[in-house]
Formats: sequence, C-alpha cells, structure tokens
Amino acid sequence: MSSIESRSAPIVVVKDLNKRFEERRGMFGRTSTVVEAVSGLSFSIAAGGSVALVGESGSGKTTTARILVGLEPPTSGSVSVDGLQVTGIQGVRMRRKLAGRIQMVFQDPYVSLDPRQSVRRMLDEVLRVGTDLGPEDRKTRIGDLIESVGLPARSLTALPRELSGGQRQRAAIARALAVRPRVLVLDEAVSALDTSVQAQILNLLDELRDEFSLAYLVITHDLAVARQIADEALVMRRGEVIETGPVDDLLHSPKEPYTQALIDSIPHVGMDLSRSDHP
Amino acid sequence: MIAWAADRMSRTGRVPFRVQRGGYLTWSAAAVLTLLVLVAVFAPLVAPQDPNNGVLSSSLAQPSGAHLLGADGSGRDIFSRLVYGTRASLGGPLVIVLVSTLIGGGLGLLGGFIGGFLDGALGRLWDLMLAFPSLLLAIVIVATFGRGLVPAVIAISITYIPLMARVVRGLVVSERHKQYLAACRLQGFGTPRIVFNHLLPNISGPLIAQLTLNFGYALLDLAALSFIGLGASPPTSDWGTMLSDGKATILTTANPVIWPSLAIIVTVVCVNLVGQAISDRLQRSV
Amino acid sequence: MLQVRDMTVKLPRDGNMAAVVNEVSFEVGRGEFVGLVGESGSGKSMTARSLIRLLPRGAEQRGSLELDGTDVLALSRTGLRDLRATRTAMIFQDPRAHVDPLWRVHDHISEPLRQQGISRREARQRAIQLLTDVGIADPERCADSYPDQLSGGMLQRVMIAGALAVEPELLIADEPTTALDVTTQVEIMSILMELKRDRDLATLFITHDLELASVVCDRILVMYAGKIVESGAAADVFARQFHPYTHGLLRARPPLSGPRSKLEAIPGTPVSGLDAPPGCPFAPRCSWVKPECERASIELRPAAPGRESACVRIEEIADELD
Repeated sequence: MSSIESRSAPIVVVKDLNKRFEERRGMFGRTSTVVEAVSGLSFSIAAGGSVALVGESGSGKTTTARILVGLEPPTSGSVSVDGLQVTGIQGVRMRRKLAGRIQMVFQDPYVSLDPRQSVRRMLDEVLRVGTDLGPEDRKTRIGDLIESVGLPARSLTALPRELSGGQRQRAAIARALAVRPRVLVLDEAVSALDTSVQAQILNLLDELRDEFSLAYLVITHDLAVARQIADEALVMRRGEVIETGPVDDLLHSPKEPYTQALIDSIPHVGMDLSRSDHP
Repeated sequence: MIAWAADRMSRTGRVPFRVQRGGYLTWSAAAVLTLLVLVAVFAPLVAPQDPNNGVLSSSLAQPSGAHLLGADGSGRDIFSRLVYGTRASLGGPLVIVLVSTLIGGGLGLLGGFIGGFLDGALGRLWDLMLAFPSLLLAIVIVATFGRGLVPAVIAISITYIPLMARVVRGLVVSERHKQYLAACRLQGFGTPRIVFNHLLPNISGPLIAQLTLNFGYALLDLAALSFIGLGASPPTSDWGTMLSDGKATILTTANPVIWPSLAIIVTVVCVNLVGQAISDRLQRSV
Repeated sequence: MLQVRDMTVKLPRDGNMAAVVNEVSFEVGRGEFVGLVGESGSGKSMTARSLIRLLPRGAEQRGSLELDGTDVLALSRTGLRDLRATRTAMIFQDPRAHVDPLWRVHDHISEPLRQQGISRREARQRAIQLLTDVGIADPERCADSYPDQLSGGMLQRVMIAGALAVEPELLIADEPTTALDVTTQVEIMSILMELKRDRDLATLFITHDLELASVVCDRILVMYAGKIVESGAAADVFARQFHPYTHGLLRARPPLSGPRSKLEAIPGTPVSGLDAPPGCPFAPRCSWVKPECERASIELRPAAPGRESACVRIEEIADELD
C-alpha cells in the first residue's frame, strides 16, 4: 500500500471549482432550470497519493471527474494537473499535453471501448497519436501493458464483445496507462463488475499504483472501495463537500450526520431497518 | 399486385414474406446484381440489336428468335432496350444515392456533431424541403430546368438530401455521447480521427441499410419521372420510359410493359436483400 | 407456499439447448424472505422469471413448480395470466424500463384493480392508500404525476405499491435496489421488511450483494452457473460458509475495518450455466479443487444442521472454510 506519509508536492490542485448546468425548456428555450452541480470545491492530490470523492447520485463527483480530465469546462475555479492548467484547455495540442498527464477509466466497460477495435489496434492507435514511438517500440509497449494489467496475449486480437467485463476493464486500464500519465481518474471503475471480479481489479489497481507511481482520484459511492484504494476521502452531497479526512477516520469517527447516514446504509449485521418515513 | 409488393418493400425495407437472411438467397441476389452491372457496362456486346431503331413492320411482335422478348410499339427490340436501359436505370439511382448521401449525410454529420445553431438551422431547412411531396418537388425542378435524364437525377438527388441528413444526424446524435468517443478525446485524438475512425464505422450498419432502401426508392422515383415524360427522353431507353411507351398498347400486348416492370422489381429486391445482409453483417459484429 | 423441484431452464446455444438454470430446488414459505444470491451468469434472474414463466422465446422449462398447490407449469394461457395478475407480483431493477411514460402513477397502480371490475373511484382510493403505505409523503400529488417526474427511489416505491395492489401471495424482487443510492436502498428494504411482517408476504429477493442478503433475508440460496451451491439461514451463511464459492465471495468484498491488505480475489471469471464444464462448475476457480470435482455430480446435500452444500469435498474442507 502506498502511504502518504512523505507528503510530496501536490500533482493535482483544484481551487474553488464551480459548475453550473442550465437546462433550457419551453418552446423557444425561454424557461431554464439551474443546477449547481459543483460548488466551491477545493482539494489536492499528492504525487502518488490517492483521494476518493464519495457520494451518491447528484453529489457532483462525476462532474468533478469530467472537469479534471478536460471533458467538461468548469463555470469557474481552476484545476491544474502536473503544472498544466486544465481549465481553458483549447485545441488538440493542449489536449495531448493533458492526455500525457491525466487519464480516466470509465464505469461501464461495455461502452467505454470502441466495439469495432481489437485491443491491439486500440492500444496501437493511442500510442501512435500520443507518443513518438516507432512500430517496434509500440509493439513492445503494448506487450508490456497487456502484461501489467493481467491480460493474456491472445486478448490482443479480441474485440470487446469477446471479452468478459473484467477483461474489458483491464483493457480500458491498459489504454489509460498507455501514454504514461501520472494521474488516473477512476470513475466508479469497479461498480459495474461482479464482486469477485471487482476484487481482482482493486488488487490490480493497487499494484499498478506502485508500479507506475500513479496518483489516483477515485470516484465512488462505495465507502468500502474508497477505503481499499484511497488514503483520504471527500464526502460530497449536492455539489458540496460535507466532510474530508483519512478514510478510516471518516469511517470510525465521522463528524457529520450525512457521513454517518452513509456509513449506516452499508448493509451490516444489526442495522436498523425500521421505517423512518412511515406515519 | 406487383405494385403492392414493390410498395411494401420500399416502405418496410423488407420483402413481404419471410426470407432467410444470408445464405443462398443473398448470394443469388448479389450474383444477379453483378450480372446487371456487367450487362450495363458491356451493353453493346450483350444487346443483339440497336435499341433505338425500330422496324415498324415488327411492331408489337411476340417473342421469337429475332426478338427474344418481343418488340415494342415502334418495332424496337425489347431485350436490347432492356439491356441498354440498365445503364440509366442502375446508374441513375446510384448517382442519386451517392450525391444525396455525400451532401445530405455530410450536412447531417456536421449538424449532429456540432449541434447548436447550425443543427437547428439545418433542421428547419430539412423541414421546409420535406414539406413538399418529393416527387412533386422533383417535377417542379425538372419542369423548370428542362427534361432529360440528368436533370431528373439532379432533381431527385436534391429531394433525397433532407432524408439522408436526418438519418445521419439521428445516428450521430445517439452515438456521440458514448464513452468510447470521450475516451478518444481524452487520448488527444483530433476530431477527424474521432469522426472517421470511430464514429462513422459504428453507425455504418443502419446507414448502409438506409442507403440500399434509398436505391430502391430512387429507382422507382426515376422510373416514375420517366414514365410521365419528365425523365429520360426518347430515344434513350430506361425502364421507366419503356413503361410509358408500352402503356398505350397494353391491351394489345403486355410485353412492352411486363419486362421493364420485372426488371425494376428484380433490381429493387436484389439491392434490398444485399443491403440488408451487409447491414446485418456490420451490426452483428458489435 | 412456493415449491420448486428440479427446475431446469434451457436456452438455445450453438444449435443445442443448454441449461442456464440447472435442476434447481427450493421453497419459500408464507412470510418468508428468501434471498437468491449470485453474480452474472448464475441464473438467478432467469430462475426468478421462470417462476411466472416469463422466459425468452425459444426457452424450455422443465421440472415442478407449485404455488400454494397450483401447478404453474400446467397452467393455460388464461390461467397463467390470472396467476400473474392476482397471485404473484414482480418488481425489477430498473423501474423506469418497466413503466409506461405516458401513464400517470395512479393508472399504473389501479389498472390491475380496474381489470377486476373495481370502480375508478375505489381504485384511486386504494392507490392513494398504497402510496401512503410505501411511505410517499404526498400521495395525491404522486398519484397524478408521470414517471419522469419522479426520482428512482420514488419510482421503485410506486412499483412496490403497484405490486401490492393485487394482494399477491408471492413477491419476486429482482435486484430492486441495485440501481439506487445506498441511503435509498435502506428505505426500500425497510418497506419490504415491513410488508413481510404485516402482510405475511412470501418474498424471493434476487441480489448479487451477499452482505445485503445476509442482513435482510431469513434464508439465503447461493447460485453459481445455474445451480444452487449452498443454502442456509442468512445469519448462519454470513457467519460460516459451506462452499468455497460463498467463502470466496464474502472475502472478495473490501473490509471496512482491520488492516488494509490485498483482497482475496477468486481467480477467473464467473461462468454461466451455458458454458459450465462437466462436474462442479466452480472447479476451475476453486482453491480446494481435486480431480474428483470434475466428475462429481452436483447435488445439494446436508452439510450441517440447517445447512446444505453442493461441494463434494465439504466434509474434508469445512474447517478450512472458517
């Protein structure tokens, strides 16, 4: 397990992040509803550290993840990854710079891979675009990547539909690591997997963090997962941070009632299943 | 009944009885189409007689050694006219489909991918164009610019543009938000790469299906224009004009009408079968 | 109440029929909350659907299936329809996929009642009452709403209300909380618990979450590759397992306390009944596998008082599974 005792300089710095969504309704788009998806979020991740954003749906954790990798522009605030300002990212060249620093593994391995590309073609394309490696070097790196994520060599020629959920997710992780980013955003990366496979992938992610000296931003609704691969966590609700701290502290001595409610909701022997809503 | 079958087919894209996909039927259809294309290319070698010169004395002759399928009202050999007709009747719809797909599909892709004002404006344009019955629109265009095969092809192509634009736009919009495309963006892929290497291949299945349907529509529309005299003009033979020529003497002999009708039906059916198979193959690999 | 004996469901696969549910036997008594636990391919959903013969085209169903004495497999089309309409109810994982977006909530709930000839006014009254029973704060407003105006949790409550409208003898719940937030999950489970107590409802609860099942269910049946591999009282199964698979499943979950270390992951991928090898389907992934496992016949045998296991080696390895 990587620890954060030696606090290296932060590799991800988020300051006062805000994201507002406006939805236009009505015939001519005259009425609109405003959603504050993220409000005043600030945190940082140390190089090699792992931070979890924990929350339920609507908490803003996924929106934050998308902003961090540049898929969504924030309304205000700043995000920097390894010295590069993510906010205001324009053009393919800047995007490539960002790609070399931070990557994302998505939740659903069934939609996050191009159904028409074999694993090898996918990795090769990523390497061709993102690096200057020649064909031989690419081949070597592809081989190394496959081995690192625990996929057998024969999966290189497989299409996504020929792979199981766990294997697809491994392929997605290989893709994310291809251009050697320093930060990986795991957006509910194990939530769609069977429990037994989930454990394999969690173990893999831990190994990879050491092997590649990665920093993780773990987006999850599952406190147990957060504890397994993150050192600290931010509990989010409706765009705001409710509480932060080392995961074990949050679990064993939460300060906020919402955090306590989240912990109480985890199925455990002796949990209170009486109705709180019944008149 | 022929009209019913052809109409059912072009509306549902399917032959109106159960057909086994793939297998011998599709291959037969493909073979027939290949044959037709070869006939079109090598028409002068295949046709036994000059399609445009008729010997009046053999007007409406029945099938015989001299006239395999008989002769039409002007004494022209039906078989030869049919053979030469493949050029216009296959080439015309092909051009229509290509032009409308490139222009319409291209605009649909643009609108679907970029969205916003452009998409809205284009949408209104298509609404406007689709407000007119397509054949009527084509007639207006041809009547304005003169008759003939080329104006007819251009006119019909224009009326098909909104159709292709809408289809492609719909496919693009539903595919655009899929995560594998976001992953491409994250890897720093440029938009052309994302669109041509990833987006388009994944919508190719339904797109091809629509293309082949359109071929059938186009063939029928072109024949219809020719039938009312706004398309290919004599002596050019296309199957539609042949129908038109033959209708006056239909009570004497149906020959001049039956063979071009059959040719149209067979072509449309074959194109649909092959197109369906290609589309299935593309979609099954997902 | 519900008696299932040697039930098999086969699906076409490469020209043959292969069993996705393989000779499964169990019972659910009145007022009993039985959990059917498994991962993908275990056959749990297919088993649930087979109880009301809701199978895909081309599927074959064999065995014995009785609901309070009625032979379900022998029912005619009409009989089956009546069974589904009045004696059983099913709720699904994604409520949004199972509602008509053009119908208001009260239509969804009162439709089965109206079919029984109940007046519109009375049906609406009952619908409002049911919505209150499932804990909806403003039942009148909810009844007049459309599905897309409700959150996932509220919609699931509406589904439960709809299920209760017919006063069923058996409730089949197929992963009803999987798509919901954890806090909502607790609320929905509370409702189901109360229904069990107050209405003596027999419930079959399908889930992939063994920990959840161990907390809310009376009994647990663990399924793998189309077979039941273990059964017992929920708390007992949680405390001590009598099958390597259940043992592994429990340990695969990251712990909430204690030292952080590598998880004991079961190697390989869960397999479905369609692809299961001969003998024990779990053998390829099992740490206790012996050559005899690949030839063994997989039947549930008593392994301890109140406990059954399909593991042929259970006597030898029971102590190691602690």
